Amino acid sequence: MKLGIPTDDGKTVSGIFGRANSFAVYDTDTAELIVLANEGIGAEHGAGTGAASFLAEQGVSKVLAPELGPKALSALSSAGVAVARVEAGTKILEVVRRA
Amino acid sequence: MTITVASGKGGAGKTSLAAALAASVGSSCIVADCDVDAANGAIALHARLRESGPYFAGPGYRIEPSLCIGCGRCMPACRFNAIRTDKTRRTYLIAEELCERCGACTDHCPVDAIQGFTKEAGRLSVSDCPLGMTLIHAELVPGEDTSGKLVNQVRRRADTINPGNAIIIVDAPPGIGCPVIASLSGADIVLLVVDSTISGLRDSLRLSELAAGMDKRIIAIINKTGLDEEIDNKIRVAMTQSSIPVMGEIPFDPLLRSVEEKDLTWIDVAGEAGLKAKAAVRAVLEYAQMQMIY
Ligand code: SF4
Ligand code: SF4
Repeated sequence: MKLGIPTDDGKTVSGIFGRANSFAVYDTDTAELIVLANEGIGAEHGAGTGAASFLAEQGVSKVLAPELGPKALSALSSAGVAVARVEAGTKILEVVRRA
Repeated sequence: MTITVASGKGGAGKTSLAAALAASVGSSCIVADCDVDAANGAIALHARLRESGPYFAGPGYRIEPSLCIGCGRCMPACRFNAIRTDKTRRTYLIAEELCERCGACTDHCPVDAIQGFTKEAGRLSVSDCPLGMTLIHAELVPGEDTSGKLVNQVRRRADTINPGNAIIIVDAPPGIGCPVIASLSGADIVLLVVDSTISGLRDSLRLSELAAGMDKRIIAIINKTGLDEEIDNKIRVAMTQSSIPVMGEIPFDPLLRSVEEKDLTWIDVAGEAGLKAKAAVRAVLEYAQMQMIY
């Protein structure tokens, strides 16, 4: 299963979702962790929706984030992606270890 | 610690309250004025410009006429009917005012004639206030709208300036759209300014639903009370029902209005309204302090 986590520095969880600098994608089967740039960061509107569909395309089935806007939330749920809360500032490695 | 001051609509006293909050926090406070369509934070705080740089919106999209072969494939791809053609159907163009900048059309052009561009849409500035606070604000060129991106850039600038433990006060734009969501995201506390009218209550409840959906701690201040006891009560009840703690009520008083013309904020006003404003602001800051400890 793939997990998606918003991050600004590549190391810790970002407090924001749609406009985070990048997303960490962790594959629990292979223990592979990659960080992908968030190309939707410059979108004028709808960054949360864009990020949600981007992660769904990457095969992410669960998003771990401190908070999600309403549009991001509905986009994730319609794509069948589960969500869970994690504290902003938590180390990514710690989040995936616990997951 | 980020406190976002928001109200479902404009004119509820949001900016004045944000200024009063900032003045109480003092020189270490950073104010992020995200209400850029009515960017009056600079006026309310008598700010002097420290630095200013261009803000680029984008990408926008345009069709390069020399590359377009007039095949028309882009037209049905646009959900917003922003792509137009004349009778000859030899050239196509994007009507800028209709284009939502989604980029969907670019995938359909066989000759890559649709290109993204960025344009200067305004300025992002940092200013110093006489009371010592730092203000981040933006000015848009007429016709550009407040976007989530712009709000995000104002917020990020505030975070960069923050030495680590400053209180950041975000003056959110009115409404419940994308720029408001960007103002709420990452906030530790959402301070709802409820205008004591029926529409003020309705707008505040819509906003509190949005903030609650984002797992925010919400507190409220009721503004302009004392005009209609029945409405005041309705709002008190509604806040209790939504489990939103009310930090204070500020009675309607023309004195509060006059204060902005001088180098002052609400907390400097003499009389009942000023005292209540001061008490409300202090309650908000005490609440914030408690959140920081726990
Ligand atoms: S960017 Fe989107 S809205 Fe603009 S013309 Fe292309 S498809 Fe239409
Ligand atoms: S798809 Fe490309 S080439 Fe065809 S009409 Fe649109 S812009 Fe012109």
